[in-house]
Amino acid sequence: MLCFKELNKKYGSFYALDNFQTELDSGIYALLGPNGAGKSTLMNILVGLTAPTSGEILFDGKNTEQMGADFRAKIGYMPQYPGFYPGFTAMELMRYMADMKGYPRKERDKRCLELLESVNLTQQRDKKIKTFSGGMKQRLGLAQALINEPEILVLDEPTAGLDPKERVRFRNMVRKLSEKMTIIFCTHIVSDIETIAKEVILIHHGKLVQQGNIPALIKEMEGKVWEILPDADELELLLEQYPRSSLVSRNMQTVLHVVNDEKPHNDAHACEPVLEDVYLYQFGDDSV
Amino acid sequence: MRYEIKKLLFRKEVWIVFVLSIIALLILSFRQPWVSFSTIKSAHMKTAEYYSLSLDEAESKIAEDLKRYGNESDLKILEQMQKSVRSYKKQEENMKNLLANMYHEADHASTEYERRDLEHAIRQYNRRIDYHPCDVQQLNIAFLWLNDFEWLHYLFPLIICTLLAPLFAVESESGMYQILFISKKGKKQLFRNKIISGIICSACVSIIYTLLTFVMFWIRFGLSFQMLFAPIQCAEYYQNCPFSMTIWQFLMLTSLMRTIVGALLTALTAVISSLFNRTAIAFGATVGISGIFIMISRAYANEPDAVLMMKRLGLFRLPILGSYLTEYDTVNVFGYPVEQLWLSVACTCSVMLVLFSAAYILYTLPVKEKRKTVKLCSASKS
Repeated sequence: MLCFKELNKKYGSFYALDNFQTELDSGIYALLGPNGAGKSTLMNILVGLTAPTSGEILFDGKNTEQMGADFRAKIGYMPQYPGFYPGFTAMELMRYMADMKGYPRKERDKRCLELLESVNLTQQRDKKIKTFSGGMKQRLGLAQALINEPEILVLDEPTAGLDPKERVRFRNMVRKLSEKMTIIFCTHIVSDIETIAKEVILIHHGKLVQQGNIPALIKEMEGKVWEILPDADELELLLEQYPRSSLVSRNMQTVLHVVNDEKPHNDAHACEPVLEDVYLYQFGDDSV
Repeated sequence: MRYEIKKLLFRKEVWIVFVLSIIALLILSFRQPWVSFSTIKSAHMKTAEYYSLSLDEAESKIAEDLKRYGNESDLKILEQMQKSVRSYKKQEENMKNLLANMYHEADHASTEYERRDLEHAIRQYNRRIDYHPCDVQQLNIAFLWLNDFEWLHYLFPLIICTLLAPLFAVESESGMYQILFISKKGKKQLFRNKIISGIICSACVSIIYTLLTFVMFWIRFGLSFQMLFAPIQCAEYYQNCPFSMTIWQFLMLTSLMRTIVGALLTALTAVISSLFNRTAIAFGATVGISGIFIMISRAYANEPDAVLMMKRLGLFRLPILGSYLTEYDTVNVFGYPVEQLWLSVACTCSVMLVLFSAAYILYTLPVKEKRKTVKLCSASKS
């Protein structure tokens, strides 16, 4: 059990995290928020890269800062832009990380090969990282995060740079892993988590805005999502008037999808909300 | 550890500096204008021949040779040889007299202190005259030549700075710090590994650099392997050295002092990189600081007090062993000269420890806090 207690992070007069608190069990938790919402600050505090101004994080009732290396041994972290030593090969990097994570030497190579296999990098294991594409680096980032068989896996924007096929593969892999550990999947791309997340945590301006499972969050949106078939003159006006709106295609027609408490137009009709609508509703102007 | 070393050696610029240093060493050593290789070789052969004769026999042999050879450069060499043989034979005579006097004085020394001092001096002279005068003369030329290359002392810190500059900055620049600092072994282990790797690399470069320099001048001056075990006093430059030391030991000592300077540069790089996280800044600052220190040493070369202070401080001056081995300030209670060098090494190591401690504190600060510290530092300066 991971517990965030009254977490604050202040830079001058700016609050990057404002009294953030929640509790996480095993499974996938999606941390959703626009850029600058405080997601990365929260992740940095969790993994120990940054110290909070006040508050604490408890893991099974113990303060993670006091646990030190014991807590670090339970964490796997894949940063948003994983940077690696360009002169290392994939296998060398895995071995190095295994050593730094204190993985037993005897089983090290076997574990590294298993993980490279699982991220489909076996053939590139002896190639220098400087020759890798963005997607390959992301996969290597995931493989290194799993070396120490972590109890908490932190993924910060893990799908950036992946092509659609790799995204699907990545999601499936994460789903499998969630049976054994707590996964915090930090993203602003709703489609990445809508099929796999156990719970979604919405964060904005450093504050926890909303938390719950996906059906519950969607249910709360019922009656707040509308669709309009506007004519060309009206379209621009409506788009300006309702920033929480998007254009979607329905039966070869362009339809305006609006998230709003009130019915936006006489011809508007209520429709089934999706997770993206929750995102648009909460983050309003910031997310568009 | 080997990963840390790989991180340092992977870079192209390190190899470029290594290759350029070797090329510079080769070009400059073989372009020394005042003595050509053929002159040295010819002088070597002639000297060996003349030294085996008595002074009168040598003089007449040289006179015969002078008539026989019309070649201008050969004549010059022969004239030089004549002077050299004459002066050496005189020195040899003086040395014998001096030794005889010293033996006499030692037998009649009024204090134990005086007797030990004289016995020590006798040992040094005896060791020197065991070697063939011809080899000794060659060694003199070689050491004079070596001492002419002051830039050798400045090139070494430059190589070390190039090698070590990214030691503590590479994680920040590559982004690896995000996953390395949060690993189980974390920053503390990483810091230890980096410091040890820095010192190992410095030691290796120091040994290679010193060996390479010596091998080159050894080959160039046609010195025999045996001469490696001759006392350092055989070289005229070190004839007043009060310590018992062979050329081989001198070589090892030079390597050791360079390694200590390498370790000092590792500590300096660690402090600067921990503050700024940039290879270029670490390189510029370490080269600048060591360069300024060496320049100050040179600027006050004619002021005895300043030289003494610099000597005692040691730091980047340590590999310039000449002044440490040929001059000494005082003798200890046992009548032996105080080894100033080791006092300077102790002083250098103390400075190094302070730097390592500062680097450790800076390196293990949380990342964001560190950035704030740097900002606060720069704000307070402005």
